[in-house]
Amino acid sequence: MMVEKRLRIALAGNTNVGKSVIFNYLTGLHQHIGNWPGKTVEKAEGTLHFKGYTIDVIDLPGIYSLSTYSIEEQISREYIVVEKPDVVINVVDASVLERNLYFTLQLMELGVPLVLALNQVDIAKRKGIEIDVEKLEKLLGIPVVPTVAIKGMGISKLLERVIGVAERKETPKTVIKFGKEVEDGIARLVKMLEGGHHRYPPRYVAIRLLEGDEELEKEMERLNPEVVATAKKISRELEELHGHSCSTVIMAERYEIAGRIAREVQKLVPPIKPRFEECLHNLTTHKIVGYVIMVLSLLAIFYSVFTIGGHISVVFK
Amino acid sequence: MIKRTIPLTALKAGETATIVSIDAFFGKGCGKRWGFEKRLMDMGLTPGTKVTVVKSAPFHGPIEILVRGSRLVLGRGVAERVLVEVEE
Repeated sequence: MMVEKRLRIALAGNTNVGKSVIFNYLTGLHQHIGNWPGKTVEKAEGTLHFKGYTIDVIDLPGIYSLSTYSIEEQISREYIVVEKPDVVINVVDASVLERNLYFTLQLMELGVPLVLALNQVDIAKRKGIEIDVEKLEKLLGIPVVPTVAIKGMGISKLLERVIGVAERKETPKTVIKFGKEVEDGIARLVKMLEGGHHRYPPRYVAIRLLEGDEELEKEMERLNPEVVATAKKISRELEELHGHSCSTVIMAERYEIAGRIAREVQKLVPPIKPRFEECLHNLTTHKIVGYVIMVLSLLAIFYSVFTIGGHISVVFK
Repeated sequence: MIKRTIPLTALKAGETATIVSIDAFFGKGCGKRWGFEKRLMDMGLTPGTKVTVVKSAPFHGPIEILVRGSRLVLGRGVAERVLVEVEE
């Protein structure tokens, strides 16, 4: 009997990068929209068949970070860590690479099998940004696939890379290093954490404790209070050294890394004329024109309600 | 050259400045300090970053800024707590 080959993948990324477009493209009508248990956050699941695999896809909420500040962030982190999907597809917007890579770096810290879907490459090009995919792949140490989700471009290539990663159980090869002082602190904590069986990788726990992650602090307090105390000590030392709180230092350094990678892989080319949406945005947010457009569109609504409505009510009489 | 620290809202459209800090103690809701600071920093507003004001809505409306290649729109109250440094 043939064993059914099943995979579970999750889509993660910032808001408005096209995660749901990719999700819809992948699953078509085979999807189920519900809620995360006990939370008013939408949960979208779906199934697809590809090259002999049955793949369950889950669309995680759009977030900017993996801290646990918002419910969406908590849900995403819990899902990735507890449910352990075979592969996480990180969808990024090619035209705002720096901010998106900040989230990618956090996913890499979690040490999950990762594939990057570089989405909206067509829009990036229009804005004058070209991205060297091979270089990005090399710098991050994870597969990168350029896609244009609304046109379905690159999606089957993406699935092939996903299956490749799942079969080899590949986790990110590269460890992105922070500045020396922070790395020293991380190393000290990792040493203390080694051997302890925790659901997060030691390096991730170390980084998050230095960032002052309250959820994780509570959790570690029970398992290993010594580590939490040391983390607090180290973060005070770092605070004195840099003049900013330790979490600020780490976040700033992570953004520095994201920015450096983004600048290295981006090639600026002359932008093609601004898109229609851009022009519309400029007009509707204009100081005076914006209000004129608002009044005109309200009048248009009133007018159509009364004239079209008038005709319809005649029909029903 | 004199450096002045002012809130982000004091900048005019088109002006650029460097972020100094996020003053979460200002006004109400400072109990959520960690989350507030963190949220803005997660979106790229870390100290030392250059921000440019793209547009500022009239009647104390939100302001649109350009930071790290992406455009963000902040409410006036939030933008007031972002302290920036300008050189004159």
